[in-house]
Amino acid sequence: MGFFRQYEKLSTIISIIILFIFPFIVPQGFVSVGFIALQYALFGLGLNIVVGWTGLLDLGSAGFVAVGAYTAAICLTLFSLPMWIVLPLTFIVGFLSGILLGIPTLRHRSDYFAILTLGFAELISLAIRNWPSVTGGAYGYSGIPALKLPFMSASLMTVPPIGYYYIVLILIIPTYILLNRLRETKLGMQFQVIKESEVVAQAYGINVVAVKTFAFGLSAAIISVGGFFWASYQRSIVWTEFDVPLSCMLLSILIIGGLGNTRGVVIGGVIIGSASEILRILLTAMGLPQNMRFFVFAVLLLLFINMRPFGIFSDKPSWLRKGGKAKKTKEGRCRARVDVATESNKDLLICNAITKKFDGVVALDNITFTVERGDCIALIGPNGAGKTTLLNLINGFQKITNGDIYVNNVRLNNLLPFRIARLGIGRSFQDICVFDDLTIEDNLLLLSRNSMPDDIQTVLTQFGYQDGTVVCSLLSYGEKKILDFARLFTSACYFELLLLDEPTAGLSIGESERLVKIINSLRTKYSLTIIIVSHDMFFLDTMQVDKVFVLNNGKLFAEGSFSEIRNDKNVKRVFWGDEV
Amino acid sequence: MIIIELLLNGLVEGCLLALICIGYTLAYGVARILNFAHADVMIAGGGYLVLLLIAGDSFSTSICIGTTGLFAGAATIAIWPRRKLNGIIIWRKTLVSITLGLSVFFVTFLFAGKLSLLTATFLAAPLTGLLAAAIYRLGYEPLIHRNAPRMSILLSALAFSIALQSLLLMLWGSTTRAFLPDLLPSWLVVTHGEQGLAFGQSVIEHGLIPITNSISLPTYDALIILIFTVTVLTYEFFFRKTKICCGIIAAADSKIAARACGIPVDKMFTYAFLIGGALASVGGTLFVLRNKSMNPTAGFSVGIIAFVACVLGGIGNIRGSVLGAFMVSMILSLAPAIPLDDWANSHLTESLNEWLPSLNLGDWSYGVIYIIMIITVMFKPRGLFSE
Repeated sequence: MGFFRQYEKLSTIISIIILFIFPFIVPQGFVSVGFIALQYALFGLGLNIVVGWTGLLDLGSAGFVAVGAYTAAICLTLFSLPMWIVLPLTFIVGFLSGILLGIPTLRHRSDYFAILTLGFAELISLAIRNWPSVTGGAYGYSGIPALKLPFMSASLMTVPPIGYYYIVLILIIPTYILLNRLRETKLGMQFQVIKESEVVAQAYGINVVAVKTFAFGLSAAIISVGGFFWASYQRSIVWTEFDVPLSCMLLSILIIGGLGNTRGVVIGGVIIGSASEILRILLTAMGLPQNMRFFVFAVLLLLFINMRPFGIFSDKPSWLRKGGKAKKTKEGRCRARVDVATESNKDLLICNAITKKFDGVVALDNITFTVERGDCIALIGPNGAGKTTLLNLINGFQKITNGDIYVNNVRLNNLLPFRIARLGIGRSFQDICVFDDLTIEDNLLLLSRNSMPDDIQTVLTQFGYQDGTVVCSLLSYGEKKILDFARLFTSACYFELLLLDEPTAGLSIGESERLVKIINSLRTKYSLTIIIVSHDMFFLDTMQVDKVFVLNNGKLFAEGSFSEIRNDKNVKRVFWGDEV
Repeated sequence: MIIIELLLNGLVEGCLLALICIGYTLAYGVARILNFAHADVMIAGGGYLVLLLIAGDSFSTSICIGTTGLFAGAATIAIWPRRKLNGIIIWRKTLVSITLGLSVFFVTFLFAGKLSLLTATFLAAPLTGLLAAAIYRLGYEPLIHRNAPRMSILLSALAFSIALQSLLLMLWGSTTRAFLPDLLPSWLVVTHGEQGLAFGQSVIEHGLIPITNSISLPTYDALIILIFTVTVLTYEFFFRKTKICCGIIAAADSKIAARACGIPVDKMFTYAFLIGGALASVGGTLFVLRNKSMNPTAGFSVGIIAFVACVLGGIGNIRGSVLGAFMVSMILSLAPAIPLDDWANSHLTESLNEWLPSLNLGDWSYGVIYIIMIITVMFKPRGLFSE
């Protein structure tokens, strides 16, 4: 869609003008098409927060339309409340119901979440059917009064629905702008990080469940507002409307428009909404059965998915190009924390008799050690010795069976990974966790807590990347690995303790030498404490580690300085067998 | 006594559900696809195709041609050659697939209305398998190859479900079709003529196999249990040892490694869908037999319940999902027996009772299942019976 990008301002102005004069330039019968189109755009904007930005498959969006529609219907009819009370009320009810449904489900990753949302939508529909005294039961809710506007005659509200059209339009423009802003804030970036990898999000201190719950609630709230218009425009609602086909239709808005792209989603919504309404008008005019509409819709959708599986606007967002979050770095905050900690005591990390069992298999057995502040510790041992497990325990990714871990005298045992990360413990992973779809810059920017775009440039040159706009899936293995460290070091001022898991695996000698320089310079600059898990003796030697711990079969086998360990016969035997 | 009858009922429903579950779990376990079109494939093959084969002459020509055309087209697409090999092979393969399509068309058309229930079931099973495979080839494979977002694949599945459902609606109309007694073998049916006619009820009554004095098992249900047992035993003892099954398991585990070992991954995926579809067809026929009627949208709710059963037992794990199916069907048949509404009627005031939602758990049985699923997934996300 190069055209839109080239003439962005012009096309925005033109489309807004067209939107405002639309009811007066089309035949009266088509004003309803415009209204439905905008309504679907609103649905699309809401659903996009969860599906497009946070990457959760929501199959139960029709349930939230039902929540909004029934809330509006009951408030407008039974309590005859005015519009400006009911509208925020549906928003709030939608938000709360989203959070309520989100709490038990959001722990789970994509597929299970999808099935659970499907289940919840069915539960909502069951509740509507089985509660006739409140919802009208299986026969639906009818007799909802039309909305009244002060300067508009009653006839303009119904046929043609010019009044409705303008209410939705006036609502959708600020929603669009606000959502676009939200995307660029810290929260919007956290959505993206969670979409890319929840493990990484936790390791960088993002409260994944809370952020996801908020996204789900906000999305449900916006969809519910769409439900408000549904109920007040149709004036009678039946539970069968809010079924899986509707959820499917709402999802197709995102697929057609392009997942995650706000503008694409609005256009997708307009396409789907107007197409379904025009098809309905056409089929009625031609005397064909209405279920033909679903067939035509499904076939068109299939064709479209096959031609453009990534949607009309498939371009990836770019935070840095948009100016990013040009906030001021709060140097003071991270310095202060380090100072307080230094005074308190010398030992940063204390592991006290840690044991970890996996269903009877003992991965770590009664391990006790302490790490002093500012030290660089190496953790070596044969494969399967329990090194990564130890890091996972410190990091909170796995639950400890027995024993205690303290950092700065804070007990870590029952803390969630993101809390531990916020205590200043950073982590790099053995497997590559770079966000493949994004550019190098965005990889850095999304995870840095408050870096300016200039800082990102500095880090880029420091780590030897010439062009930050390259998409990460094009990088080689080594480059991705280094990028993982670059990401860690953009927020280095927040971390005190870094856990590096196999930093040099897969790197060439030149690359690992560069890595040593970088790690050492940052270590002195931010007075970091580092624990390295590695097999690479050459790397550990050049790192000049202060102390080496040897793990074997889940036990602490030996400890000492690098040269001591290197010459230790027992250690040699563990690594190379008896012959050496 | 009622409890035992309900449990028996649950057992039989479980057999049906399990046959459908296997298809879901294969599709998920192999290709990580939530195959929403499965239930509609089931009703199209096990329901309408079987009905056509048993009683084809009583339907209009357009219905016959439309339905056979659907399956013939599906057969052609299912074995359509994948990529351009050299000239002769591609032509031969294309020719084979067209021949298969045409022969499916003529065989179905010729046999329509002339087959008995059992032969129709076994003819319909492979044809339905081809329909499922065609949906995979047409809807999922191109997307998987292009690394499309999983959302697109999911939406493709939903779109296929809707398309198939509305196609059936357009062909067969939304009326509920009954399986009339003269379509079924005589040993399955005992017609209580006078009673049926006198009370204006359905004339279909089933034969009964006595178990104890007061409990007897309808012949339908006995047949369902028999077919289920045969299918599962065949699957477990015969199919699991075949090369195709090993290939499917390997391809499911790692596509790249399987390809490196010379396993045609796409073909294996297609086979998985084919098998799932064939089993679903058998399940669909049994489902229709048991309900004695069907309409084009009947598949959907069964499909969702089968889906939930898979999740409960552990989706992607065949034994788990079969166990899950039995659990769900037991709950579904026992839930209405819990006398919550009687309790409410005797203990709560009348006005409160009027305001409260229906407390008959029969109305809420699906809800009960969902709630159990949600709780299960919260504590054991990989299913109750995961290995």
